[in-house]
Amino acid sequence: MMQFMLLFSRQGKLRLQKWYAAHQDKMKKKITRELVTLVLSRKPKMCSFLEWKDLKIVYKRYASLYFCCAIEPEDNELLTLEVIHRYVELLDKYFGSVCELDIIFNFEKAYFMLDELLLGGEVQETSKKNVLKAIAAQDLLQEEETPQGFFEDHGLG
Amino acid sequence: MFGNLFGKTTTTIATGGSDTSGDAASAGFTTFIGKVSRANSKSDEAHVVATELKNLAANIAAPNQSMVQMRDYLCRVAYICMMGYEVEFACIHAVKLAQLGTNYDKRIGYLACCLLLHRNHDLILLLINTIQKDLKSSNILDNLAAMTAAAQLVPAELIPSLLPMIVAKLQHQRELVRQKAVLCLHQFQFLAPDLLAHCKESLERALLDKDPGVMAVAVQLVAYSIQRNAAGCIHLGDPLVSVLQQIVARKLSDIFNYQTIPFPWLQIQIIKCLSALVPHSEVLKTKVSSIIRVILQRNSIKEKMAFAILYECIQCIVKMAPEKDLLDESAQHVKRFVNSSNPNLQYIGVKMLVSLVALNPAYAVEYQDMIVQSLEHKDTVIHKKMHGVLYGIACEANVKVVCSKLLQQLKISSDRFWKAELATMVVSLVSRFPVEPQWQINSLFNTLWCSSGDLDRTMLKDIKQLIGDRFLSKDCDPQCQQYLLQKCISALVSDKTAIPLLQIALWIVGSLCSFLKNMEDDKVLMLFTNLLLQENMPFSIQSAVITCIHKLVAMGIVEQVSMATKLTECLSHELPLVIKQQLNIIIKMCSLKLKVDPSDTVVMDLTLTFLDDLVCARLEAGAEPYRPSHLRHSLPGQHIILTSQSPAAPSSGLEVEEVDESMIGDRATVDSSSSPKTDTERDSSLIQPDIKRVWGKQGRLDASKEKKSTPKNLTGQKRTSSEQDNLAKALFGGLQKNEKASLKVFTGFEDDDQYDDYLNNFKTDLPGPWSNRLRSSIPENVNVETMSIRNTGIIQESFNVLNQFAMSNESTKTPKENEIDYLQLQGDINLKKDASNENNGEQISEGSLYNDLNNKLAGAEVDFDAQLSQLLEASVTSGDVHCLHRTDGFFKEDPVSKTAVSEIALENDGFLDVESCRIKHSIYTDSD
Repeated sequence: MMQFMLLFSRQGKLRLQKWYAAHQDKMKKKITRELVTLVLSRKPKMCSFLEWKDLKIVYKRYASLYFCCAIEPEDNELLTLEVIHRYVELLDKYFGSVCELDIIFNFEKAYFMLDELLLGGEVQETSKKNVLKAIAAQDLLQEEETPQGFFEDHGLG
Repeated sequence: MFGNLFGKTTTTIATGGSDTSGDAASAGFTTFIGKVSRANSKSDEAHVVATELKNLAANIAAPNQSMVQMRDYLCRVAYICMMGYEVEFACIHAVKLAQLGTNYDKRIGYLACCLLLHRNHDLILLLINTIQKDLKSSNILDNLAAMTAAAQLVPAELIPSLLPMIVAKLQHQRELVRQKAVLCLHQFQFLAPDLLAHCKESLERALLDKDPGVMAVAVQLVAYSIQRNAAGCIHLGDPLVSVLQQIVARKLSDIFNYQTIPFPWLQIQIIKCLSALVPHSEVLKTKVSSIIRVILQRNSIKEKMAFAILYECIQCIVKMAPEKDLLDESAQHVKRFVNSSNPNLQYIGVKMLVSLVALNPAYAVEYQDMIVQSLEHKDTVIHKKMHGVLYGIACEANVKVVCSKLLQQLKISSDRFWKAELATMVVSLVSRFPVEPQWQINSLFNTLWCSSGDLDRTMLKDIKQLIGDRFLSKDCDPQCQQYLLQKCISALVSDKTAIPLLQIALWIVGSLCSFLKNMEDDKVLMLFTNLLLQENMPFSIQSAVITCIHKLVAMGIVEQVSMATKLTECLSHELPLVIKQQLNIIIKMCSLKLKVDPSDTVVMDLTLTFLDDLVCARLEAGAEPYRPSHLRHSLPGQHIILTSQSPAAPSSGLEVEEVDESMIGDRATVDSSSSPKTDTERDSSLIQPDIKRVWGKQGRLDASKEKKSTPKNLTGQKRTSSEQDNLAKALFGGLQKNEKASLKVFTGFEDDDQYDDYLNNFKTDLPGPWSNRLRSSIPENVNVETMSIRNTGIIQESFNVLNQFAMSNESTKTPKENEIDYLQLQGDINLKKDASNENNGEQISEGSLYNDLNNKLAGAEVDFDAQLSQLLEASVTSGDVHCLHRTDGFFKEDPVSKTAVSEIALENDGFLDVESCRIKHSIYTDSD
């Protein structure tokens, strides 16, 4: 099970955080600070896995953003890398060539997307198509009233 | 696709950033982000945030805000929360938005709740209503939002209020809803596994769902049950294998393909489940190994995901402990990983190599060069893992080299966890390959030297045990012991030694102190006194030093006069009172020229055979035998002390002496009466009319009466009921041995005659109350005898035992508290001094005080049985008064028994047998 996921910039600014295991706020800040420094100090040619306390850290850099996940010792690191990749794919598809600013200004969308991909630290939906469908359904709701036949159009009917 | 990813520069942020794709954020949010990103310092940022929060707090609380505005405010709050600022004020509004909003507003409300609240937040209670309402809604998006929030926020105690509704959602017609419901239940399962026991069937039915997406999440749910109880989930093996077969045969919809690989997440999840199930079923094992073979064949190794699957397969193979050919095949694949240029795959490769090598070290042979190279790898993560391989290939021939590599790491590393892991490896190597003793000693010492501050207690205990087994027993090579001692002394001399190492070194020096004879007295003394007087030394070390000095004195290794002068000097320094008192005792011992022959081993008489005759005599005289507490209530008509207030005479067994009602007062009264008082005074001051006197001068009153009458009754009437006989047999059967034999053990007399002479001399020589008691009854000289033994110096051994005991439990109290305890005890000791006019008696009381104190220091709550064995030890070596006082320490949780025990101690001059202590304990625990 994934313990938490952090998105932070090259400057070490946190852009998104999702905690699946319970921690005190103080602890969260401490962990974040520690990991950000640790990950930023890694050189490009080094491997993306770290053993940190009793957890494994899997991180990957996409342009100026670091995606950093903590998983339990028995979890598959390579698979976690692919989860990160899938998430980036989804963001990219949704925002159309995503950038850090998209995530800053529309962070709620980024959270919604993450909630569709992972729930409680477990992978929920691995089909890109299905996730985007679910998000699109929500977005249409944002445009005030749901038009008749909406669910049918989006394959939810 | 990622060519231009995140290409936009951050300058847009600084200018207010209007260029955002999707739905533009509100102007307020944009401005705020702009301000924050322009802030140059942390304090600037804090200022911007503070102003923003002030505005937000005012706006958000204002009436009649539109939902759109609310949404915007909460987004800003959530962002500020992510930046690490306090936003408690907005929580209630997040809950409100989730409740009152519709559709998208609701979604944002839930999101804000998820970000701002946590499972144990008070407001969750308010949110539950909303979640319930939304679960009932016919709008599936509301259902989904509610379940997402429920999975993240609902605490275990509120699960029952939602559970039926979510279980019902498993039958929902939309797969999205079913999927969320399954995952939501999965979360609940983590929090409260037992709550879901009744809906296990419907959960397993989800495994057969027609939608692959739902089925996939159902596998996760099942995986958790398998993890908890693999043996009970064997029936799930076959369905899982068949699902895996379908996936591998590409029978599922290709929307679940990822990089041309069918359903990789599900594949990996199932393989994981199967590898947990395989050890419990042979049939399943063949099925699994065949399907794994298929997967290994079909895997194309063009995609990254393929490596993930391969990795999982090999992990499964290693767990299965399969046929050689499958293992060989996986070794081939591992080679692919290890030789890869991708550092990630390399890492995974090394990791798998570690587990392969654990099964068969031969697999490492072809990587020789690589292993050697990797040890210098610039990526610490990989070279750390490589040390795992090294550890795996260790054998008698190469263990020294491997160990030196590990120790090298240990020296340079600063990571606590890594150091602990390395230390574990070294210690396990040393214990597995007992080659040269000198090397073993060096390895262990280097480990401790580099990492003892980072090791946990069990690890330290293991190391201690290893050293104890290998080098400290009697038949060890003295040369090794000498070497070990040198190592210890160099550790003691250095001022960089960590505390745990110091402690172990002191322990070793204490055990091997006979070798210190070769050293000059001055040097030996300096060694210890320097440690003792070093600033900021923890109490545990100081008391360990004291233990060592005790041993030195007792074994006569250091000339006693110089020892005494040196220690007297120490007294002028600032030391905890307890330590000073210990020093005083040692100095006194020095002046008495006490000495113990090191060859004279102390054998513990744990069964207390020397009491057998005493007990039998009393039983014959009609005394009430000891009954375990569970039997005590079942005997009708027996008088149960302290459980009934009526002074009814016992209907059977013995006569209870009816004494004037007096104390079972509280401890304070005993402590405060440090001035001499006669017994009558004390009695009369504490009259409590309704409480029968139970404890008297001689222990429990009924027992004491018997004790006095024993000599007269020996030939007189025998009141032996069969019941008592049986009980006595049950209690002492097999333990009845010659009292003399057991006594000889401590006194060290060669034959009976010598012993008898000694005893006779003793009786006649003893002045005052001691000799009176001795003459009055033979069995009691057991007590006196053991007391007198302190004069021969054996008592020192008991101090050491006690000291070790106190240290091994590491005091939880500060020295300050210890001192307070000590002062309290001073009260006791004064009383005792009054009670016994002789020098001898005074010493005893001091000694016993120490036992008591040590126990207090230990501060450990150990169960009574463990305590009792300690207690017996003490009683055997040092006389019953020690035992009594230890009991006192142990019972400190229970003020009533404490009072009673200490009262007895005061009145008895320590004449109390272990049996009555035990009885007392039972009585008091019973009455609770």
